[in-house]
Amino acid sequence: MTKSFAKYAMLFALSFKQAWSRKANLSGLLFFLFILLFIYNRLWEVIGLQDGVKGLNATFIWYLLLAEMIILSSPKMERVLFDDIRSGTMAYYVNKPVSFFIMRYCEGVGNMTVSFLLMGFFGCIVTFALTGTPPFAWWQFPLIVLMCYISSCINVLFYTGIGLCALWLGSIRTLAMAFERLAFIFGGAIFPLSIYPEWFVDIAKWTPFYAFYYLTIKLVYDFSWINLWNAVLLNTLWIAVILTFIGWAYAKLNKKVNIYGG
Amino acid sequence: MADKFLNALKLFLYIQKSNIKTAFLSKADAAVNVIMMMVNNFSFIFMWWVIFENKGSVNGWNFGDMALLFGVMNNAFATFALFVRGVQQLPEFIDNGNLDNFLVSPRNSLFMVSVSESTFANWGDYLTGFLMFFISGHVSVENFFLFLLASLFAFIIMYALRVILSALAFWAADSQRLGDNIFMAFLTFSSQPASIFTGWYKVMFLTVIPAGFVSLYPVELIKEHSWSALAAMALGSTIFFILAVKIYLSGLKRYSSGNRFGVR
Repeated sequence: MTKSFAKYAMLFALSFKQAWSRKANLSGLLFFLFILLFIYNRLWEVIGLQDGVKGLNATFIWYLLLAEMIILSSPKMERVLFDDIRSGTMAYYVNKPVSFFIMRYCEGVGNMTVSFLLMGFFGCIVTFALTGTPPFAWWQFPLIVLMCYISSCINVLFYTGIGLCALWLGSIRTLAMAFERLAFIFGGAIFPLSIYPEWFVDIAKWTPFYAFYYLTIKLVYDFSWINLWNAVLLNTLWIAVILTFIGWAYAKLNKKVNIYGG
Repeated sequence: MADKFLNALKLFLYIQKSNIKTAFLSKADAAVNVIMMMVNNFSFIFMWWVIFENKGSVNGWNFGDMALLFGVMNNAFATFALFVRGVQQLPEFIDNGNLDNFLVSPRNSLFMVSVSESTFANWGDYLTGFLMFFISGHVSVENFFLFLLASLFAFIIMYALRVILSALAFWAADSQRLGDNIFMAFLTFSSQPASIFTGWYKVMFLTVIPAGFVSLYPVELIKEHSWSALAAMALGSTIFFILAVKIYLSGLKRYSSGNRFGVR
């Protein structure tokens, strides 16, 4: 058990180091984050001035920062899995003493962690400079960030699971993009669900994005132990659902590889 | 010159025909991809509809203006992704030496790289683009032609910027994601109501990141029939296109070939 954990921890560390060495990629990511924060800060500043509401931008920009930390930090796991399955690379891994899926997942989380930490550090400085006083108490911040990190791990799991759809689809890019966009609206990733119509929020509650994104991120401006507990509970439930799907799809995949080869 | 152009056009049309044939090998897959693209677009548009439903207008812009902006953006991006998306792969071709395959071809290498990739799903962007024009509340025959013209200029700016970003790979290795992220930043900038950018923000909006050429001027052109907007777009797209080609050519001089062998 410990040995097996050590193997995966090593894969995580390796992927972390690799991601850390890609300075150009990371700079591009931080630049994109800066542009997002800058643009939406401007939007909420203008709306705040128009409506005569002070500090509107602070609430929405801190919210946006955490949302982007979850979304943008996720590597394109669905493409990695898709390539592995379609090119037959996966067949090379099935006889290795590691689970192919867990191996890829650990690599994904290692990659995500670098982006998450950097975006968190850089984003907090930029957001603080743009908006001033944050909408949360500082003692709540570590808990909020921890919840966001857990959501990011679930996000990576979700997209790794989408990659398994390569079993049935000829192209995964558009499906992943549509999911990404649905996640944006049902998870309230750019604008919080509190501004959406009630009928829409009722639908969103039935999607996993509501738990991964909205419930977690809204802690930034609406922190309470009950909200935190709700987020933990619902996220756990969705992890179970995603793992069930992955288990089923992975078994099918293994069978296919064992019968037909890569 | 005319002969060269006609030959390139013939090749271009042939490649597009092949792309469509390839996509139609699996009709269901092609249809799903186009529908997914539309779901993707309408999700984004819905977000903005919610904002305008709540706020009425944002600094003078209403949902009709946003619909025009989305129309132009979607058409421009569809043209880019369907016909010249290959330029996005240029950094990878440079890094791994695959550019050699394009350089040995008797055709213009930038043209060959550009047409080397196409995403069929982006036909969904065209459908979204035209639909957005028709719900914008600015529908007339004249406006329709202006809409097409604005989409064309927006596409040229988009393509030119992408060439410049991809050509960075001639100077900096492993710059694929950097270029992708800056291009994404440009698209994000372009899909905001231009009215939120005033003063110095507006200057930056038009120069550092030329997003204003894709969002501000097209809407002004269609809504107000502003000839100055048309002139700005025509001039902007010409300058950016020439600049992009010059940067690509100067980068090409620095390119040291890889050691792979292959013909395309």
